[in-house]
Amino acid sequence: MKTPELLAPAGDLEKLKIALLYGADAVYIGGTEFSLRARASNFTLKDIREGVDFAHNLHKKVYVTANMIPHNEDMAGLDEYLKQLEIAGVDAVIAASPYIIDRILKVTSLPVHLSTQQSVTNTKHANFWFEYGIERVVLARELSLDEITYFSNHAKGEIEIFIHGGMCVSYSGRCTLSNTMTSRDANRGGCAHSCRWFYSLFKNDLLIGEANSFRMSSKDLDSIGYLPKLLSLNIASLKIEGRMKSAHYIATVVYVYRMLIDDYFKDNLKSFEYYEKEISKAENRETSHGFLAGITTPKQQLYDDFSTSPNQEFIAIGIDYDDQTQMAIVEQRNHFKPNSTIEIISPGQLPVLFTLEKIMDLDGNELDAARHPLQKICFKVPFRIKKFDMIRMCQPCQNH
Amino acid sequence: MLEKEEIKLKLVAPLHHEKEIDFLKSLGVSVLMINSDCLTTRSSHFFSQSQIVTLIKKIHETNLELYVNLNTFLHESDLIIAESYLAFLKSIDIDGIIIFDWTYYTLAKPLGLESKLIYQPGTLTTNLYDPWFYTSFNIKGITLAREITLDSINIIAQNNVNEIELSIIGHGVIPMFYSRRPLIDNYLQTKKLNSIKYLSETDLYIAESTREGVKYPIFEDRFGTHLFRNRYLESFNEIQLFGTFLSDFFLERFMMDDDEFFASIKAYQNHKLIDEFMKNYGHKYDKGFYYKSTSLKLEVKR
Repeated sequence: MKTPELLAPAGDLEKLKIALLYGADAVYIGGTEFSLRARASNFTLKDIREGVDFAHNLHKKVYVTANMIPHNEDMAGLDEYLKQLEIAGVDAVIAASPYIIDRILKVTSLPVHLSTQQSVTNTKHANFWFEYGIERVVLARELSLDEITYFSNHAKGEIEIFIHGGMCVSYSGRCTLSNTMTSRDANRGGCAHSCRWFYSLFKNDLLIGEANSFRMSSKDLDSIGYLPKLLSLNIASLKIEGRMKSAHYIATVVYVYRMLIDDYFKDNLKSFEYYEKEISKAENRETSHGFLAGITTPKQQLYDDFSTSPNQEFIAIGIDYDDQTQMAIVEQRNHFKPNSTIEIISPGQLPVLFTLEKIMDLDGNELDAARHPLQKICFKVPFRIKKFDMIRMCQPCQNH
Repeated sequence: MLEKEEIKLKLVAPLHHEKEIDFLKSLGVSVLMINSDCLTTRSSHFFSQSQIVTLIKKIHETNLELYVNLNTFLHESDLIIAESYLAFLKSIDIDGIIIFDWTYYTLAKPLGLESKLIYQPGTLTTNLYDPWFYTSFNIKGITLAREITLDSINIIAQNNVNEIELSIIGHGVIPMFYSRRPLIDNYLQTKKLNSIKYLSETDLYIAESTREGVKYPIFEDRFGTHLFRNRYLESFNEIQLFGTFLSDFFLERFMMDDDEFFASIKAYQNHKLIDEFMKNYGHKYDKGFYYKSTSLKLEVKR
């Protein structure tokens, strides 16, 4: 059985490196043109080249999204951009528009992955695109496990599914809610997530329920409980959503799914609760299994809670470590104090708990708190802290 | 308004009852559109296959055309039904099949029925390349996206040197999204409001917390939940332009009473009736995205 690719989002170069180091086999990124998620920190061609070099040195891949649905005025410059992507060495382009798809096929030799914006919900549709020349189809998020299973047996090419992260409440690509309410075009990267706002439901002008309690917002997708079954199928790629998510979120989610996938293939699975607990350390929205069990129920919707806070606060990211002095240098991301219990996650290792004693600045001045964002902080620790290790406050839990 | 001598496009009007055929023809409608009883969502009037067999005979005898609207997404379990339904449509010599999901093309082609398909995805058909792309599949037509400007429509049409027919949905309630989720049902379950009638009901709407007085119709049926713009679309002035380069002008009838619907058709045919129509119904209408360009803006206030 072939291990599927674990595909992670990356909003910038740092996140790209983190996602790959934490165990993603490939990342998808947005360029400065033709991509959705316009508010994500999109990559310049120079960034793309650097990201591709970094990935290829690790024998991993970079896909670039060009998944907008262009209007007439958006069409200029596409061929040149695509050729530049090919020169940069990207491994595939993710697209939804026939125009962009055809230009990729015409002016480059790059593989095309069909974006979920086309909402492919059955094998006939997928196979149409495979016969057209598409290498991989990203399936609609509205599919059940049974439907995905059928796909895995009958699709004539690679299929990719979402396993974690935010979900459109509408079929993807068919929503103009943001266009109407904010003049921001959802299919051109401007989605304002108007579906997540607060609404009241009326019937014949009579309020149903409480004011502002009608919510269309979906809980984020979490497939951990379904992953063993998904891993037994013929799925090319398991995709994590979230190009606008933080480095800590990306690291944690990739780290946990990497661990789960590797554990599965080593026949050494931990309890699902273990993986769920680890992932919850970075989640800031409630999660559920989306459509995997079939048509959604109230349990897949967010009603009374707009969001939830991660239960462990991300405080710093690893920079360097001196083996002789056992001094770690980290970069502050949130306020923390000495004598705190912290947890360190590092690619390929189980989380480690540690109690900080003194903390210092780079000049050796002892600090009563790390107050300043991006400030370099030193502390002594008896094990290596590597660049991009994630450090967070921690209450001991059953996972330790 | 549309001057009689300039009419090149066909008015396409939903049919709710067989008895309306002659009346709609007398109003100037060229094509009647009906909803299937198995593959259509977002509708309150459906026709069975046996009814359609009777209908099409009469419609063709009246020198009108008949389109069938198939606007659901097809999941794997729907394919057999869809394939069988297309075979039925072929057997009755249907004039056009409006499809929301491109899957229908893959089912229609083996039946030799692709030349009847009108791809109407609602969004997606947004630029001047799309007619070229879909022409290569020998389908009948594409309906342009609802969120593009009049200028864009014009440019797309002027560049359409292909055989493919272009159309727009130019009048009536305009969908904003289609979710597979039963959003109203889930909400009522959560609130334990089990006595509220909601399924296929057309009297529900939602209001956003910061937009006082703005009502967005919401509709749920067994295929999912639909949300609509707060204003209907009208194209009384623009139809003059469309008449020169579009093939079909679709009027939406969903969530509209019969008097308003018939009055709208009359106003498209006789410009003297536009003022009266707008006086009676104008408060419900706007120009959609014809003159409202959407874009990517980093900061937009709600």
